[in-house]
Amino acid sequence: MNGFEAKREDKEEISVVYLKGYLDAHTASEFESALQELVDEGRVCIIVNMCGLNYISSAGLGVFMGFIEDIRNKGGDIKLAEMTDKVFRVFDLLGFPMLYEIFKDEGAAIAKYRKP
Amino acid sequence: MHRTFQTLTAWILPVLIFFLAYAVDVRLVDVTGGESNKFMIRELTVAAGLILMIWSSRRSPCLVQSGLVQKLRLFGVLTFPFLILEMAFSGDYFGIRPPVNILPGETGQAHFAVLFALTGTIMAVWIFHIIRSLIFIQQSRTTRGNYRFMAIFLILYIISRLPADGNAPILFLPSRMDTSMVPVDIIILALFLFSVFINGFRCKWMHYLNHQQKIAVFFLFIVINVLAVPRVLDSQTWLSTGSFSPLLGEFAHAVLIIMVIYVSMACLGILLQLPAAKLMDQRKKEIESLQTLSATIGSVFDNDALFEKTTNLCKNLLHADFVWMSLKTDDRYAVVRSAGIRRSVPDSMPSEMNAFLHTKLVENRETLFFSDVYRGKQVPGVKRWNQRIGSLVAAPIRLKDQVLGALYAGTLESYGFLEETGDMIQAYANQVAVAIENSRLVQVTIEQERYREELRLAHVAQMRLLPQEMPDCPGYNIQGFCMTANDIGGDFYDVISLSEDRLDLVVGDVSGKGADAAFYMAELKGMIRSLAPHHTSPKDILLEMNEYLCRHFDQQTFVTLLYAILYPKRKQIRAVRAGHPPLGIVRQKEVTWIETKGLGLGISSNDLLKKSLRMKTLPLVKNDLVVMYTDGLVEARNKEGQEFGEMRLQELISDLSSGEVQHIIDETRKEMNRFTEGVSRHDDITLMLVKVNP
Repeated sequence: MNGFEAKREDKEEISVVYLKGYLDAHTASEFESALQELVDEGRVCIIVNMCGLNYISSAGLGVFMGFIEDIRNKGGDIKLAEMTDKVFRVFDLLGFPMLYEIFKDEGAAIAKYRKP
Repeated sequence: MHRTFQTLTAWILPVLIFFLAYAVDVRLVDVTGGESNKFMIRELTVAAGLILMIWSSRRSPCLVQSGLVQKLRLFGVLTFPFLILEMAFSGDYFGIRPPVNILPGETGQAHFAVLFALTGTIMAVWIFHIIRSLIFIQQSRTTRGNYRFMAIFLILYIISRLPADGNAPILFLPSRMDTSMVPVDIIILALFLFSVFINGFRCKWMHYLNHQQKIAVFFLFIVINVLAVPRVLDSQTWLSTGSFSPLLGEFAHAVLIIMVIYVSMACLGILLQLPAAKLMDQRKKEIESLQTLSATIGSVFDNDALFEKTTNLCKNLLHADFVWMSLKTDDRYAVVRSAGIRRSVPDSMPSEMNAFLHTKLVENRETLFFSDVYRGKQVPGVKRWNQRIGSLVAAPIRLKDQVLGALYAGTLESYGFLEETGDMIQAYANQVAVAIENSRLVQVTIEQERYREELRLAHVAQMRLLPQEMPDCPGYNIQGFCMTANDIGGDFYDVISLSEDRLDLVVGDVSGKGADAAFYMAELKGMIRSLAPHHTSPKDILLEMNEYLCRHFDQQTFVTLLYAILYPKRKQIRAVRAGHPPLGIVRQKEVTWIETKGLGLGISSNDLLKKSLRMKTLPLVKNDLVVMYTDGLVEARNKEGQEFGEMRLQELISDLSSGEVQHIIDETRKEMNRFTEGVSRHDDITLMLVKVNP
């Protein structure tokens, strides 16, 4: 199967998760663990940077849905940044832009957290 | 046919030939040319008979197919009568000697002579064959050569013993150690004896006998020798076989010589071998025990039987006084089995000793061998243990890097084990490790099988839920297909005919894991079918579904749907898109995608969904082609990892759009198969087409 990586980088109160490769049913669990780790630590201001993401399947999308309610209840959010056009199309078809804030670059997402 | 030929040549012909010679003797057959001529002809006839008998009985099934023990039994059964025959009725008994000129009064004895000679010869031939087959058991490169050497000198020896001239007196047979023996004869005799001697070393068959059998054979051979040796060395009388024909007599005598030498060397071999044989038996049992353990591993899931067998084997076969096995359970090592000792005893080992053993076995993974535990002073704390112990062997039960436990064997006296025994105990410990790993793997396999079966059933369910046939819709042609993936994909499509002017077309995709997706799909299909007749607006249907989904499906599962209502009479189509790839209309090879806004189902509350869903109604004209598909189609990958993509799909349906719907379906299938060749599909591919008839 194709490779996948979810790398975390903390920027003060915000945690950025960098996704790389193919996010599908086989690799979704890795993304899940990364988000779970953040929630367990109480770090709920999350940005998912997808500049390295080649593909996302419904299993990958499901991961977002599994966490978003809980994170928003805790006063946090998952903001999405730097998607490729192809990945954006997938999100767009599904209607995710209505639920999630999507940014062209990470900086804008961080700014949104700091100055809502 | 073959059998009768064999019997014929083995028995009947030789007998007839011998009787032919006899006939010459008693003048039934008249041969001219004088005494020596008669003698020659008669002996040659006998020789022919003998050769024929030897050659054909060689292949007799009794010899070829019998096992070692049967051969030895046959040997015993033949030699005694043979020896008795030759002993009891020596040549003198008959008082006659060939050649010929048997006087009328003497025919009675001549009959007996022929019968004895025949019997004796048959036995001699068989004894010879048995010895030959014993020599050839487990033959090496030189066996055949040595045997031929002996055979040649056997023939030469026999010839050398026959009278040189035809004018031999009637009572002639020279004594064995005749001073008139010519140097050539002595050389031939010496070489003959030597050739038998070297063949005497070929006693490999004795390895196949067990202890008792060896002793039985040993005594049998001793008795045979006791009876035979005097006959061999006796120089004054000749064998009864010889009274009919000197050739047969010499043959029988030569066979006796071979027998005596071979049997003596076999006896010596057995005697020398006996102690080593006992050890070999022990080794053999040890190897068999390993085989038994291996077999137990294969056949039983429950390892208790294996552990029990192992500890018992250690105790009984390896002569340990006590044995115990400890295995790791939940991070601790506990005694699981013991023999010859109560479990509480190893449990109550002094902590020093326990720690020492732990270090050596678990951390260093060594096999321990202590011949004299107390005096050797190698095991700390052992004197404080409430168990007397002389020698100890401990073998770790290892699996790659892990130590799962250990097998211990001890004796009360010191020096209770040979070094090889330590190896054996380690071998048993290895078997235990294999058994444990095997059980674990079998468990894993069972679970995998179960999962696979689950998937298979879900797959079957999924296939059942797809439309088995399309409803008739005059003026339109509707077809669809779903190419399922190896894992459960969750695609579905349905066509619901509600009235003359309403045909609901649905294509959907359930996300989620494995078998769950198929079950959700079933639920959804049912829901749609029951909701459809009660709603005129597809939007309402989707809202009802969304509410159910959000409440009853798990959080991570969502559904994308494309709901289109075809109004055949009005020639209209109304579509709502919920997170799904858009509906397309192909008109004159131009494709228009209806990309209305719409959130997927099961993602958010009805409020948001209601706000997001958009419905579009479009007219249809003749030859229009309506296209509905799932993302599996555009996301299908080829060997190079490229996606099929929206562009390719657009081109494909545009090209095919003028044809018959079934043709378009078939061509698309073919194209998808061709594109994804060599790659296993990871998502279902669904396509539904509606063509407005021209």
